[in-house]
Amino acid sequence: MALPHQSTPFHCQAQSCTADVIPPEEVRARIEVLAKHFLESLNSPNPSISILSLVCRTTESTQFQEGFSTGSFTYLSRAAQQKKSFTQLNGMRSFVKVWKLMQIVYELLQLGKKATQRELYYRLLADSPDYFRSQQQVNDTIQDLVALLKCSRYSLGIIASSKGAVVGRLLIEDESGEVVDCTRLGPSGHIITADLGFLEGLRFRSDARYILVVEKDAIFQRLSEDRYFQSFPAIILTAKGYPDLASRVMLYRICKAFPGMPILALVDWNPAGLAIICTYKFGSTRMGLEAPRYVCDVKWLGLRGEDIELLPKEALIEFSHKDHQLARSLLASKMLENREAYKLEVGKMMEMSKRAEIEALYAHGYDFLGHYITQKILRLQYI
Amino acid sequence: MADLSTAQKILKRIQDLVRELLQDIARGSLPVISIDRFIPCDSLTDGDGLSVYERCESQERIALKGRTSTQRIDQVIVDQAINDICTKLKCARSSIHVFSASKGLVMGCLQYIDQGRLVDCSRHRLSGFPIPTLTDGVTLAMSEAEYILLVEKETVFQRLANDGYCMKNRCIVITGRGYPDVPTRSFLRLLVNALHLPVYGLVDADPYGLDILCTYRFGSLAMAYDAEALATPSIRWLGVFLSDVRFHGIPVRCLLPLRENDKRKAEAMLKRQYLKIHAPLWWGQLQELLSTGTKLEIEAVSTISFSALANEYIVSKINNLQFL
Repeated sequence: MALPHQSTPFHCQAQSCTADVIPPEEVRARIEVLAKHFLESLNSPNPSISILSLVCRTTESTQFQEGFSTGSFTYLSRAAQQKKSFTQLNGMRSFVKVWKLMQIVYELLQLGKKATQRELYYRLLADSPDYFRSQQQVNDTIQDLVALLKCSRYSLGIIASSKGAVVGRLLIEDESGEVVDCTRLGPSGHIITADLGFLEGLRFRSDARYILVVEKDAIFQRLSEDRYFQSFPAIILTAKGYPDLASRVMLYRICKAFPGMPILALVDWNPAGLAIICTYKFGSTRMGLEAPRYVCDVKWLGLRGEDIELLPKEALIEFSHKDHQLARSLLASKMLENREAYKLEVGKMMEMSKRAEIEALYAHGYDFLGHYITQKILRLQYI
Repeated sequence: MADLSTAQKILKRIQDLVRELLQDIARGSLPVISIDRFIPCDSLTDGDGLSVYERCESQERIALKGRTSTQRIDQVIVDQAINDICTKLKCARSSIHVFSASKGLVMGCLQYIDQGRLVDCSRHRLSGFPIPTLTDGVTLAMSEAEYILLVEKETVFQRLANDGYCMKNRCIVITGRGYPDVPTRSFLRLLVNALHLPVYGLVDADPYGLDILCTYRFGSLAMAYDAEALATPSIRWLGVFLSDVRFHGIPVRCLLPLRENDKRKAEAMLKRQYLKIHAPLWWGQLQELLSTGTKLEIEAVSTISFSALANEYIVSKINNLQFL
């Protein structure tokens, strides 16, 4: 898989920084290198305590790269480094915390086991109660470690729960040879496992023509139950809201397996819906270093401004304060800079100060959703 | 069961109801629908009844007024309306073809047929299998399980899946991912009825964990009219308990303080008479939570060792009969 790397000699910040999925031996090796460096510094003629160099994860260091063939993505600039030093007053505690976490992670990797973030919290609470008092502190330190070792949380042995599901005209074969036929599943579909290594080893076969990414679980289940994919050749995927890493990896792998298949998103007509599309399309700062790898060219099918006239007036809901905030920040973001159509949509939402949910389409009957999707796709009404 | 005769019965009840309303209108009086209401058995002093929820003496009477409602129809109102309809027509939600998407997961020594498809839950999958939305369409094919393990949280379920718990132990593991929905409880009931296996619940030692366990055991207020088909009275509380700190080597530091909402929840739950009478040991644990002001989460077990939960804790508790 080629990493979307763009580097020009004119911008020193052009080198992007990503967290790789690397095998446990290599993570351990990186930790050992750091430990060796630490000891060498202490043992040198001018003894000192080595400084840890992390990638800076703030909005200032987030860059946006427009790509033409490789796709656009957000990334963290390698040039902006944050230093953690034992001798600086503010940095001392977080310096120690990173080392303490490294110790536990090293043990985890040696045993070949995995742990959840909550379990790490209890472990650290039991071992070092003076340093770790809350789950949030543990999560922040985990992000620090990811930024330090430049490898994903999954590589550190941290497991998360899965959110996504997939259904439709897709055959998934795993490394053991087992095949899952996604046309023959219940309404909840095939749950996407959080095990990224497992996802990387999957092979796909499909006769679908489109991939449909659905924001909400209820819509996903409705399409699945109605067997929408029997009458229209599609693969349907949901991450139940903002996609977690595993769902994005799954979508990425499917879209790489079938390069010609358009990926169409079905979200509510509100700023959050567009933000979800942007996360699939460009990655997110929150996921920091794990962002740029799995971007896919997702297009916005619906709901859109042109569909509002299909809905009864009562279905339109007032914008909340948060909606306004999100809309403003989307309009100001670099991601939408060259995307006039998206800006127009947000503009219309803000002008009407209203939003609408996909379920509003049910006002025309339960079958209408399927017709609506098919019509829009066949008329190429996606942006 | 959603078969033709039930559908006929429900249709007849709807027709009877409409006929009553028409008769009211023909008589010139205001049409009225009376619906049973349920309250939890905490205010009854001699709560001897087997049912957790008692019908109120007075039924709520809903009268149709002349003005149209200006209330916007939203999900909460629709849910309440569906509940009212089911109560009035004395049927389950599935009988009037209202389904909720299923949230629960299952894995382990179990094979069942769901709408013509065979699902084999013993296949090693890291994320479990979704519990079928319609329990009516499910028939059990085979199971060599010795017990059913019920876990509160999805993360614990995944931890057990990751450690290959069901490969080493002959059992079925279910999670409702928090408060269990109707399909999950219905599925559990189906398993218990067919297999007659003991059911062990693994929840956090905090008021919400115990409330979830109670929902499995006694049913929920919202679905009180269907409690019999959805409650599993034979559930035992396997853990965690505050006493695990003493007996299983969990550091005392892992006991977290109860927060304000935890305390309020605990105090409210202590008032439930049915809990005191039918599950006194659970009630006692709740008291201990409140008196010590602490709680314990399942993840704390990982401080013993990373796979202690799957490898030692659960099995030893079952073998030593250390459940309530």
